[in-house]
Amino acid sequence: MPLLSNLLAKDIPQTFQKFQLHVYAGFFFFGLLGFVYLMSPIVSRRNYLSENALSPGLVSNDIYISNEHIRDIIGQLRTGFKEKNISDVIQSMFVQRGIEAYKQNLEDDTNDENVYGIVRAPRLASTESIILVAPLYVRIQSKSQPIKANLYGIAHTLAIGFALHRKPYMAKDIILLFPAQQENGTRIWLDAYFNTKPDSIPLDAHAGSIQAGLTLEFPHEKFYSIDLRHNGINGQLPNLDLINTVVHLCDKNSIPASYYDIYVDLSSNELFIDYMKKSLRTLLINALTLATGVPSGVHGQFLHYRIEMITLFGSLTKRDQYQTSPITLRAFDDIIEGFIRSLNNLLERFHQSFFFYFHINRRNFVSIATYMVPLGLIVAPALIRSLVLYMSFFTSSETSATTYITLGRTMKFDMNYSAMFLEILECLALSYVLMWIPMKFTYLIICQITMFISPILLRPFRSTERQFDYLQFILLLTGSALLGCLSLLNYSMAFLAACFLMPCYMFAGCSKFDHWIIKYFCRFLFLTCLNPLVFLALYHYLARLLMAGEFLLPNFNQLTSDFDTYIASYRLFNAWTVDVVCLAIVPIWFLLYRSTFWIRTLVDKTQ
Amino acid sequence: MSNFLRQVKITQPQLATFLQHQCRAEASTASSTGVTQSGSIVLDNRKAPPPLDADRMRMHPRIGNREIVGYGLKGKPEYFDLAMFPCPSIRWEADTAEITALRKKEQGDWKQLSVDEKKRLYRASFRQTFEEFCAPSGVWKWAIGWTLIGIAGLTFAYDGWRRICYRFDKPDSMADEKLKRQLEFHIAARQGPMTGLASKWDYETEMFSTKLKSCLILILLIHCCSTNEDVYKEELYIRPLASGHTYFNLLFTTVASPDILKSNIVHHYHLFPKVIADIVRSNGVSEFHVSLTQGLWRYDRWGMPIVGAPPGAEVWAWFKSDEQRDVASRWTSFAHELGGLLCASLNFVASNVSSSSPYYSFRPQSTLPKSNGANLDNSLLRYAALPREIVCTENLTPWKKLLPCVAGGSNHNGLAGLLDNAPKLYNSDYHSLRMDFRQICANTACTSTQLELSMALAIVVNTATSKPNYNEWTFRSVFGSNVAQSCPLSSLTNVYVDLQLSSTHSLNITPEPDYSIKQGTTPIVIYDLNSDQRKSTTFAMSCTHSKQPTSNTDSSSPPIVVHRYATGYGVRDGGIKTVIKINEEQNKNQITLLYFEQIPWYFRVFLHTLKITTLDDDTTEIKPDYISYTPGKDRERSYQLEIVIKTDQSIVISFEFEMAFLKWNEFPPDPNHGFYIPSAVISTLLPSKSNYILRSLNSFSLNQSLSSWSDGFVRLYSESLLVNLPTPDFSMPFNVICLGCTAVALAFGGLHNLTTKEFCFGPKRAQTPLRQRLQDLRVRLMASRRALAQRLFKRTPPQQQRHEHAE
Repeated sequence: MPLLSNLLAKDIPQTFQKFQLHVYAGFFFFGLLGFVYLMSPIVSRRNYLSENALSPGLVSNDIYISNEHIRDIIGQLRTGFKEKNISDVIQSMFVQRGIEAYKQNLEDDTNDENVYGIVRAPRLASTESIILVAPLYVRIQSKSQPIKANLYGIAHTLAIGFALHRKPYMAKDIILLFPAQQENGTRIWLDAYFNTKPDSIPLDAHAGSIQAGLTLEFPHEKFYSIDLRHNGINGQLPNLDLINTVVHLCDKNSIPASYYDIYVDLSSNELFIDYMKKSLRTLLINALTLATGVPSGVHGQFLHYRIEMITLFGSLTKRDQYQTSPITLRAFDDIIEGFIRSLNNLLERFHQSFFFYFHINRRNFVSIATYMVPLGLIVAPALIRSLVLYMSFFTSSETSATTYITLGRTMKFDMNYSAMFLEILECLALSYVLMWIPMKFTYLIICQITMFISPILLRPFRSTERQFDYLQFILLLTGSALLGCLSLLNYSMAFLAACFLMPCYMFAGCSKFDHWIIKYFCRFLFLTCLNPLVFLALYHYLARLLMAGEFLLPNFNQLTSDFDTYIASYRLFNAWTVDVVCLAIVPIWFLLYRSTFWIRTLVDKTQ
Repeated sequence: MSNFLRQVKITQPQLATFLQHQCRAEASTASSTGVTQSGSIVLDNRKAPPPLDADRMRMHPRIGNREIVGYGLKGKPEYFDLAMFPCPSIRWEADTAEITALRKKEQGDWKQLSVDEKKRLYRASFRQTFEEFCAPSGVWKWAIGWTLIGIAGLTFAYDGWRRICYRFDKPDSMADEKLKRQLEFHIAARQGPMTGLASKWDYETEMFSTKLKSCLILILLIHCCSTNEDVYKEELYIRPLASGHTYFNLLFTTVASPDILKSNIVHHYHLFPKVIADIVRSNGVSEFHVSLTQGLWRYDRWGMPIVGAPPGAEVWAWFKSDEQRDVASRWTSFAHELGGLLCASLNFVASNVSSSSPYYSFRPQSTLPKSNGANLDNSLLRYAALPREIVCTENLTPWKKLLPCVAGGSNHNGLAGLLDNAPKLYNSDYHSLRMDFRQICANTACTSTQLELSMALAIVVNTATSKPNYNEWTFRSVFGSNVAQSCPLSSLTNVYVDLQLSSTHSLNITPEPDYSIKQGTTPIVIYDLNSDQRKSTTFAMSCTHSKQPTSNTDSSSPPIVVHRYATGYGVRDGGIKTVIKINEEQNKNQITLLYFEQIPWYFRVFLHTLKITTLDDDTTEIKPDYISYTPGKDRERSYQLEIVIKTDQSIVISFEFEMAFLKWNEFPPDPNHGFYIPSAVISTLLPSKSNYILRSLNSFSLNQSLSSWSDGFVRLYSESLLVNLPTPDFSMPFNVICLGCTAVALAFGGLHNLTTKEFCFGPKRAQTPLRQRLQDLRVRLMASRRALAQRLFKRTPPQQQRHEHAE
């Protein structure tokens, strides 16, 4: 569509031209402050149950599971773990009680097996089901022992399954899944259940469409609080109603529930400043962890298949100085039973409430309508700058005498694109080639060095000022479009990318000024602060600080090892974070970096 | 006394009674002593009347010279006859000379007075005696008479007014034709066959006759109609299952003469339910099947049912070819009527959208003479399934009412008495109501036919106890009651217990069975409840079975098991995989499988993705012998797929579909629940016929299928599937519409302006000083004020207006 209007640079108020940089910086910092402000009680909303059908399950309890029963099950499981035939033990326990149980071989050299049982509901023809997942082994954060048997979680899952077997009110089947190798086993089981991979061996039994579920990770026999983990793949989150149900149940049974091990005491005992600090920590950890695209438990795999699920992790941390005894068995079973009966009562899939939100504590959240504003403020300078550049093209084209006439259509402004596209192509090719190298932190440093010296080795970008502006214009539009799309898919990642890219844009734009000091300063900044690896290290340090909640020294070894494990595990999760970074963000950064080496030519050579 | 009255304040009634007492007391003392008392109240009759003076005339102008003798009732001088107050204040007659003389005489000894004189004296004082004025007068006749006349007059007046004002027509039921039909209906329905209207009808001459002879004929006629052709059988089949459940199947079979389906005659129904016959006759149905099921039959754990059923509702019907109405309209009205009868939403199956006509899967069940059933093409068949239908007591109650021993109401005799406690029957893992209507051969040569209506209730009850591998049940624990009495109408009441578990389990059944037979290798014990010793007693049964620890599990897996599931995720496309597992140990030869699938139109099935492979190796494809595929049409027809496969090993049938995006008003109220795909139907002939109790094609009654070899025909139903279609967010449609419209308007407006208009700078407006602007404002304000005033006071006098004009 040709534009009839001529947007001219003289339309822009002169004062704006003068204070452009201030305005952009102002937008950027207001955006950052706005994001921090999300934790304030004025912005956040108190959560509520949107789906009424969930509430009856919260009321009364019907099941009683005795301590002896649990102890008996744990005893059997323990021998199973010891003799490495845990899947057989679980299957025989199911079969003994007349519940159908099946095994699935993972088809690898380890010979591990997934076990699952299906408690059939008498009221329905197996069209819908609820799933309870208890991974056989659970990752725990201790140096000596990275994984531990999920004894308590498996025992409770089994006990609840046995108790709900043949209950007349059950209208949905309950699948009890015990995956081996955590995420790997879960993924193989899900692939087989939905038959998404044509070569996977189909399962022996199915239970209709799985509505929602719960993952139980309780490696310790005693626990003092429950940590809720809800991060899914690529920043996906479960429905807020599901989380609220669990939080309600926890509150009812007075079990302290936390996110990221940060417990906010919502009673008036706590100081307001503590409340704010904890809320901010939760919010920031939320953003930082969701940006990675890696789930915080096996539930992430289920979210991918539209099965709403969160992980309950039994934490050993005491949340209150008066809390002396661990959580009772009865209270814990009440949570699972209440949850299952709420879901059993549900007529439809989870569709109400929110799918996009940030938790700032267990009772308050920020919805998408609110948290999109800070990102909008951060990205706005890119759009304004591109408009200003666009308008300035007309002014300059008025001065130039010649107008291109191609195919009978008058061009608005003439431009020789060849040098620009050569530059873009060069940068893309180089960055893609470098990203082809296997992801290792040491390799990444080599890549960075290659990128840094490439303008010296290869011919730097030479063009007139207008061509340079045009390149900037294209980069600004690409960048803002990328961030806009990303903000809808994975907000946290878009936010971090915006925080990184926007200063890059600014300093790349500044390099237009011819003074050599400015040029060297910009290059220096790109080498130091605006370097992706430095940003990564900064990100890692900040995340560690927030997780620990106390001052830590930066640890380079920790960074490299964390990065390597992340790269190793990330393929498993169907995540695309690294792909987006490698294919979009790094090339844009590289182009911006190379534009600081721009050499002005007064006349276009090709003309 | 007057002093007393003055001093004491008493109420009026108290005063009246007081005065009465006083009056009597004074009269008694006066009569006894004859002493005149002075007082304000004069009660003394002996006192001479006061002279007729002017004062008296002025005060009491009406009484003439009649003597005032006392205070009277109210102190007024008036005469009355009152039984309550017998002493009026004045005398009746005026004082004549005669009376005065008599009075004087009265002062003396009363013996001097003659009777006439005494009477005269009495009459002078009183008009009537007590007897006279207390005598009934008969006024009530007059009063009632006139009231009735008044009511009648008003009614007539109202009727007349109504006729004038409204002019009602007679209801059409009062028309002669309708009256006649009503009469015919009464006669046909035998209203009061002995004493009522129908007893006056001569059925031979089709006229009313008052003769006694015709009544006798009528009785004979009724007797002839209820000949011994109608047969009703009740059976209960019990099979303890290895999975800790027990399968109960109550079977009720009615066989009737086909005459009840003939039109244009007066029908008589003995044991056959009239409603069913009406539905069948009016829609030209030759046979039908309907089942309402809750839960899923688990073939892998429970073996084979006698007759299978899919979850939800399933109906199919064969129609007669020689009727005037087309099959589609008959199917619609049949499904509506049947749905109304069973309280099920069968009206949803009626449209072509959800019904289909498979070629092979549902051939007629009727056993007709060869000549009749030769050319039945599938256009006469309609099949439909409603997987979402929920079955409850509201379906059981009308279904139960069709049974002969329940229809009467209170006396639920026989095995039907077990159905009384409905909640118990629904507290089961599988609950299936079924009704089949078909024609069967009346004799072995099949020269004539009979109608068979088979109704069955199958439940699978969880009988496991807390003790592992130990099952226990009684009639009372399963049904809530025992069999109180046998149904007098049933010709057969049997209870069969299938003991196929006895090889691995120890069974203990009380009471002792009457006899036992062996069906193939399966031992069956039988109780005959119609036998003499059980006929009048309550029949209670209890059973315990426990697994013997030595026996191995799964000794007999079923010969064929179906498992179906949906594949894929997301709302764009998906697929269905059906696994048909054939027990290869039992089966050495090839068997023929008939696979039928009916899929709603919003799942767009692609035939090219249909893949039939063996279960073990998904690369070896099996070529089906026959494929019939009817592509669906949006909102008109569902997809139908029918495949015939010959195989000797387990197979997998898979195909893929794409999901349609429905119009917003086509979504149900709960769109996020998902949409159902009905069960696939697999029909086959089992290779090893002997081991399973199945119904035979000759009869639904087990009594016959047990005695003859079962032909091994089974129909297996797979799971129904629940798939989520792409669904818009209905929870906030308003927000979505508002937001969408705003976004479109903003984007469109901007783009439109940018592309169609050219912006340019206009000349700058000359700046006016502030004072000038203020002055302008003042002038404008004054002008508007004047305009307002003119509008408000439009009716200003013309003079003023003129004045204004002049100004």
